[in-house]
Amino acid sequence: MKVIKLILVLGWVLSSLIFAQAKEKTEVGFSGFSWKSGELVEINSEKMSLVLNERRVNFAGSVVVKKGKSVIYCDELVLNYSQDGGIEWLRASRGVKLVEGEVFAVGKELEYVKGQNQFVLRGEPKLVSKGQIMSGEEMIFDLSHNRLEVVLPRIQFQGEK
Amino acid sequence: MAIGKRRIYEWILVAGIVGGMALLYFLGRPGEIKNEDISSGAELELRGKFSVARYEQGELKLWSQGKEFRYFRGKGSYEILEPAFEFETGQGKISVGGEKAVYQSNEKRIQISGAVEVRGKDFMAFSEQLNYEPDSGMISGEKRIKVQGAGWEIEGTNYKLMLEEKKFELSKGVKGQFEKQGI
Repeated sequence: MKVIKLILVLGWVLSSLIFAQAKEKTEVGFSGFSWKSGELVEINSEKMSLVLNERRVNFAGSVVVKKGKSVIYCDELVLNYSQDGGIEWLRASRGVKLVEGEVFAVGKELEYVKGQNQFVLRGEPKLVSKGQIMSGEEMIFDLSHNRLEVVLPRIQFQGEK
Repeated sequence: MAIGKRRIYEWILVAGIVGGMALLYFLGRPGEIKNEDISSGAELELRGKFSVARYEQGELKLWSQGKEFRYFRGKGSYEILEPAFEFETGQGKISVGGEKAVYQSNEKRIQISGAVEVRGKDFMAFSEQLNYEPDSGMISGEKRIKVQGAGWEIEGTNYKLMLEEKKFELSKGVKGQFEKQGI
C-alpha cells in the first residue's frame, strides 16, 4: 500500500514538473500578433494588387508586416479584409520569417484566420528561442491562449558557449 | 541787301514752323504697337462654368464639367480648368476631379493634374497626376497615389486602376495600413 502511495506521489510530482515545463514552453507565442482591438497593422512591399469587390489584397516582393513588437517577413502575402478594415484572413508564403525580440520562426507558409485567432506555420517550420530549436511538420500559435502546438515535434538544445 | 536779310528771316521762320510741326508729330506719336496675340489660340473657348453629358445607347456614360474649356483643333486637344468627371461603370459611379485636364486625341487619354481625387462607392484615391483612358476605362500614373477605404489605406507609385474590374495595382514603394484589428 505504501509502495502504491509512493508511486502515486512520485507520478503526481513528475507530471506537475512536466506540465510546468510544458507551460513554460508555451510562452513562446508571438503575442505581438494577438490582433488586439484597435491596433494597427503596417505592410510594406514592392508591388501590390487590390481587388476592391472581393476586399482581397496581394502584396509581393520583400513584404514586411509589422504589428506591435512582431514582424513577418515574406515574399508574397495575400489577405482579406472586412468592411471596417479588419484583417479576416492572411497567408504569407515564400521565405516566411516571424520575429519577436529574440524569438523567431521560419517556414514556407504562414496562415492566419481571425475567427480562430491562430497562426499556422507550415513547410518545415522551425522555431528558435533561447538556445532551443524546435521543428516539426506544422506549428500552431494559439494567440488567444498564448499556446504553441507542434505536430511531430523535434527539439534541439544548443549548448552554452 | 535789305531784301536778302528779310528773305533769310522768312526762311528761318518757315524752317522753324516746319521743324516745330515735325517735333510735335514725333512727340505726339504713340509708341509702337506690338502685334501680340492675347487670345489663348484656341478655336473654341468657353469661359465660365459648363457641363457636358455623353450618352451611349440611352445611358449616361460620361458627365464632365469645369470652369473653362479650350479646344485646339490643330493640336487635336482640349483642356479644362477645374475639371470634374463622372464615369458610369459596371461597378457603379466613379468621379474624378483635379485642377486641370488635358485631352490628347492622338493618345486617346485625359491627363488630370493638381490635387487629383478619385471617388468610388467604397474607396477614395488621391494623387498629383493621373491619366484616364476612356476606351479601356483605365486610370494610370507614375506619381504617388494613396487609396483609402474604411479602416485601411495603401499608397505607392506606378499605379493602375481598372475601373470595370475595380482592380488597383501598385508596382513601387508600397505602404499599407489596416486599422481596428480585433476579435
